[in-house]
Amino acid sequence: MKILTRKNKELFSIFYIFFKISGFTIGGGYAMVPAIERNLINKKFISEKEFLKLLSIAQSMPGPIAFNLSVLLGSKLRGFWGALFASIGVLIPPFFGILIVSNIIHKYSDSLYVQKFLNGCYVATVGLTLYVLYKILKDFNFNKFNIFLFFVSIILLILNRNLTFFVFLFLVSINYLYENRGIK
Amino acid sequence: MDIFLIFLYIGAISFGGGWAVVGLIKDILVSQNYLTFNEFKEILTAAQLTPGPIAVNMATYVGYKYYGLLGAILNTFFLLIPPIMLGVTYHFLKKSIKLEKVALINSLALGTAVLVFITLYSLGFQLIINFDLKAIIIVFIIFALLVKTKIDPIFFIVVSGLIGILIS
Repeated sequence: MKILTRKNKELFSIFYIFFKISGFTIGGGYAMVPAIERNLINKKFISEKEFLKLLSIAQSMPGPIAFNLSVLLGSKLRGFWGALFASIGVLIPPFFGILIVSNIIHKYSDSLYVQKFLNGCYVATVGLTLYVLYKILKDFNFNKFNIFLFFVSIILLILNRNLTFFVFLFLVSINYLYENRGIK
Repeated sequence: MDIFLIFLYIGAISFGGGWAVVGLIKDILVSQNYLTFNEFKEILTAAQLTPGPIAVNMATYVGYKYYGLLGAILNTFFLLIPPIMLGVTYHFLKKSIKLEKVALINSLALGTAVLVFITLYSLGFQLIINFDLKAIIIVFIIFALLVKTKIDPIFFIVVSGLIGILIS
């Protein structure tokens, strides 16, 4: 019985760590990664090397990176229940946060000032997206083949957005096979 | 039911962070009249002023709009089904499948770059067709400051909103 209580306490502390990080980090998933790293490594839950390994797995999965990371870390620490508690901890703050804030904005959305404010924020979002694109491309190893793929995919998707899933899958697979040619 | 399937699809394609799918969310939901463009702007702003991944924020809000609190929970869950399924599959197959890590990460980065470019095109198109020169200048000023300084993006969101009130 005592063991069970201790286990429950650990699960609760996993939940609490992820809940706290998620609730106090504004600015999306990527802003949360360093906060998760600091917290878990400082508390000796995990070594830096293990963290980086899980981070690279989280990045190569679909879905929000902070969520993926919480599932992987939770399951590494305490198996299935660890993953469940960590991911619920990550999801609760954004769940209520967005419902509350968007309802407040929506309530006053008829006001001209709110409309102008939202238009201004929208402009900043475009600048932010440009920066995200720049950060990805800056570290990218370009060659003739992937530049060609990049532009063909963009033209296809501008013409028809319904192809997104297939273009993405095709692009990633072809580039993967191309980079691996000669290996084996 | 439609919105759950839309967010399942978005979940399957959201590699490399939320910005890869924001454009896709806008194109699908606004063009099929699930959201007005104004509502989209409201959620986009709210998502950046609140914690959490932007795709999760959008799934929660749209689910809530159509089916209330239960819809919000379900829609968030549908977005997360693909990563959960893939994570489970990976867990069981990691010994039998050998993927070249560097090639995989490079290829996913290429795919993500294409999707983020489409998001930029989809969001920025609005400013270009409106010939909104002031907005385009602000976009580049914010971009330059994000590159050169370490100021938190949320600062630019709020300041740009205030500039919007003052000059438009």
